[in-house]
Amino acid sequence: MPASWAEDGSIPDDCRLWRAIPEQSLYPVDPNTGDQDFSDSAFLTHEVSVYAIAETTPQALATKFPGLRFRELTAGDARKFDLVVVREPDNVGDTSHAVIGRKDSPGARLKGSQAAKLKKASKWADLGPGQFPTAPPPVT
Amino acid sequence: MMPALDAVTTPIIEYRAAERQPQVRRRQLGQIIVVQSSCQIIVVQSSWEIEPIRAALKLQSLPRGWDRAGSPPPGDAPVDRAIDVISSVAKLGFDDITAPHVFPVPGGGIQLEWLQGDRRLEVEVLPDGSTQFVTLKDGDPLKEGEYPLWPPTEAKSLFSWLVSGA
Repeated sequence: MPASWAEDGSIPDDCRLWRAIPEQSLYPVDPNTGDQDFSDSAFLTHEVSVYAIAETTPQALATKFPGLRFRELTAGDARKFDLVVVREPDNVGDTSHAVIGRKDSPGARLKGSQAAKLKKASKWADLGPGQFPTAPPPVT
Repeated sequence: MMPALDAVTTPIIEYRAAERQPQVRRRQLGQIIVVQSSCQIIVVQSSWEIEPIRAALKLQSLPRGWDRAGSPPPGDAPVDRAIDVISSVAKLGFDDITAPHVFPVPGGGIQLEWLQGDRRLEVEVLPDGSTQFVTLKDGDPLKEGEYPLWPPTEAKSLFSWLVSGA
């Protein structure tokens, strides 16, 4: 738990945050569309653990969370839903880690509606477990 | 003439605590069931209840840290309450309700999700057995609060809203 739930000014609104989604939170892949839904219960916690992808790499996160898929949202998305984003090194000292928590009740579980909003605001950051889209070549 | 077998039987779930693997079998209506100390027998009203109840029971076998963040598996209180919720929904009398999807929640809870077109009803059972609900349309939350196990009229209004979107 962070020492303070004060909003972290070092994380701009456009900061892209990745959240590992446990396999138990996944729906089966839709055989018709290939899409995969997930339960917003993956966000129903006291502090939603996320990583600023600009400060780490997809490969590093895939190593940290083998076999898991990732959703991407921005810090601004979370702030729109009365949540705060606080930098907090993870249990191995990774400083790209942050937590999302409630502004009105620091340290309390997110409400179901907030979890649902985070889900809707997020998108898959990968193509499947450990499969990441290739970055487009730089424009010359 | 004897009725067909399916007409006189109803599925039950027999849960053997020692094995943690629920078995489904059928019994005749009116049959007296002897509940042994090692077994929990759950009588269901509708066949759609079997899979979600089975899924809720299986969640107790999750390892600690299943979410990679140290969460425990759901304990007896949320599992029992999730089964209560599923059973109570089956008794509401809707013919067109499908089985909910069952998910563990970080911290030791369980979430049941009923989907109907663009509508969704989510019931979360917290680790202490208390229950919350959220209704969603197109992924946007509409209403949330304490899930009303009693009186059934309140739960019925939630499921009426859900199935009216079919």
